Amino acid sequence: MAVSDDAIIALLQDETHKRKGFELLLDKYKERLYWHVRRMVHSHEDTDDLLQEIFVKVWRNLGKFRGDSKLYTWLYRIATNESITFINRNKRMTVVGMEQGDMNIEETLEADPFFEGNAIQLKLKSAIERLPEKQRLVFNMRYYDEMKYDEMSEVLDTSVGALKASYHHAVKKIEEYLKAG
Amino acid sequence: MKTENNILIELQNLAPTLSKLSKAEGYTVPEGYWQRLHEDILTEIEIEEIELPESAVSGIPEGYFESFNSKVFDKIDAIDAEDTAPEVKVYTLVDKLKPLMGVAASLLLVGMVMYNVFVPGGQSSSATLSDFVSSAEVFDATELAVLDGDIDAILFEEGVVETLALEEESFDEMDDMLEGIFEDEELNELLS
Repeated sequence: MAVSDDAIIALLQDETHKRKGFELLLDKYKERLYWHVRRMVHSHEDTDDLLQEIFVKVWRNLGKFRGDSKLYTWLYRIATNESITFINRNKRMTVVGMEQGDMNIEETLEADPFFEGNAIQLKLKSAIERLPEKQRLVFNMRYYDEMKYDEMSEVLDTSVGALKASYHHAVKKIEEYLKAG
Repeated sequence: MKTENNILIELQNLAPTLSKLSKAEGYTVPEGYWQRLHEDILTEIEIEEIELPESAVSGIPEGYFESFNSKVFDKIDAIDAEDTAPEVKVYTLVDKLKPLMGVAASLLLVGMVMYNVFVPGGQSSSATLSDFVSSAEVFDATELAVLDGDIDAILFEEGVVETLALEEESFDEMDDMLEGIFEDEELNELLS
């Protein structure tokens, strides 16, 4: 049985049990955050590096967590911000170095030893990748992570109405892309 | 469960094709990855807990940049001060001894004259000033020549110099010899 967020928070706030609390937090959230990050950066190696940085950042900032938001949304917020920073940094490096400039998501995933998806999964990934960044993020969090709009609102600091609109547009675009063959 | 149902209903209404697809993504992770990830993160945290001094992390001494500006300005002030300071003359040992050397030379000369005039065997103690001056000239012209000759002989005997200084007559002989050479017609023809 999974330990509750409240129990984890109580341990994290007690200096003598902080490390134990962090281990429980890792157990509970490492996989969920891994997939959240992986959907954004795609490569396993990048996800692995980024996830370690994210958890180190979480450890450093435990003192700043006041319990105003849920532990789960606080972690997602850190992971999302770090992933966006990583993606933007990589975009700049790609432009400067002209490396993999024209390599699309399908080619990237086909070359990835840790992707075993079929043609339909590849097509869906391709459709998602074509979305604007915000819509892609909202779609992933709603479709794969099944997050509620109010939780997403906390993570992305965006109103529920705007999130619903973003999700609606994203789904429609993907549907059209899939139907187009 | 309620959220999942809501999401599915929402999706079926918006995108029937997408709603029929499996949510499996095709991503995989290396074997044993989750356990390794857990250990790696805890190791990172342990490293994080070791508080290294700032200099060990950055490779520069602690507070280096905070004190950098004042160090630069100190150097600029020192250079400005050097440029505006009055020139200080440096005296060598010779410069310092020059006046003393002059006095010493004068005293030595006076001493030698006095010796010549007043010591028994020298000039009469009742000598006049003109006697004194003329005796000094004699000392210079003859006594020094004798002294020089003696010193040359001593140096030659001691092996300090290899030849004795030539006598006056030796120079006359040398002149004759050179005249003979210059008057040699064959030699002059050869040289011309």
